[in-house]
Amino acid sequence: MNNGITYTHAPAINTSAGFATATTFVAPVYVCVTAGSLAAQGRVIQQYGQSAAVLVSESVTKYSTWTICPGSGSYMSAQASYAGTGDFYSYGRSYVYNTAIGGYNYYMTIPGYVQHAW
Amino acid sequence: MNKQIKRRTALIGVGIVILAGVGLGSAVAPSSANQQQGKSAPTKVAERKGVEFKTNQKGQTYGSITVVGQQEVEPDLISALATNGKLGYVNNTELKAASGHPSQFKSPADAIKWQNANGKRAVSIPVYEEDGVTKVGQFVLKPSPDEEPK
Repeated sequence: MNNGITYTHAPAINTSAGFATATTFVAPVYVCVTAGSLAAQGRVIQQYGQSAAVLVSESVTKYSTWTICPGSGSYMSAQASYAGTGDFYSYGRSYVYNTAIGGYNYYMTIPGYVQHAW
Repeated sequence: MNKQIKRRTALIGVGIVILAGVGLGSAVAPSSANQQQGKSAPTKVAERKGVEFKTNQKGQTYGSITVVGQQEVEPDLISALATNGKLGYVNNTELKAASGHPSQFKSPADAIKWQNANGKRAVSIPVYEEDGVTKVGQFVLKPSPDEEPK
């Protein structure tokens, strides 16, 4: 199962008082993973009308800095924030190092519902 | 009878001319953005993973990030908002380089080394017009908040 890793991304975006924050969580399911093996990015997308979507905030990629083992509450996360009003959602991005290919596998977290920041 | 045939033939001919005109027009019509900017470059379209994006004169695709199934499909120039409030596009290659994208690293040790040197500071990249050259502002990538091992 994804090199022993799974990910979650919920809620996709939180909005409050003219502020939107996207958080991406990454967590292993079956095996412990060493520092640097997990990575995450947060992305805030603003929706204009039916089709136009604009990237308004993206975090620098964050790599895990400690060994993370499966277990309750064990995860790493990355956040992107944007100060503004409108309709927002997020594509979080998760990455897991795959020793077989000597590189990172990419997993897009499922975009959440559009939420409005007043 | 002959008159009816001639009339029908004429109507069909007119129809073909109109359709051809519409087709030709849509093939070379400039985008509304180009019209607003007074440019006359035709809008071309390129397909990437089943998603159609417009292309600029350099052949770069541009538009919004699109999701198909479980995959993001990104153009070369991604629609983005500059810090000055102007809409434009960030270059996907520049975005990946600035964000410390994992495709740049061969091992977790390499990634951690990059993070220790660059991961704690904000970095800005240009926002361009759809030509991918003319700068209209800056897009800033910020680091995530620190967190304790959980």
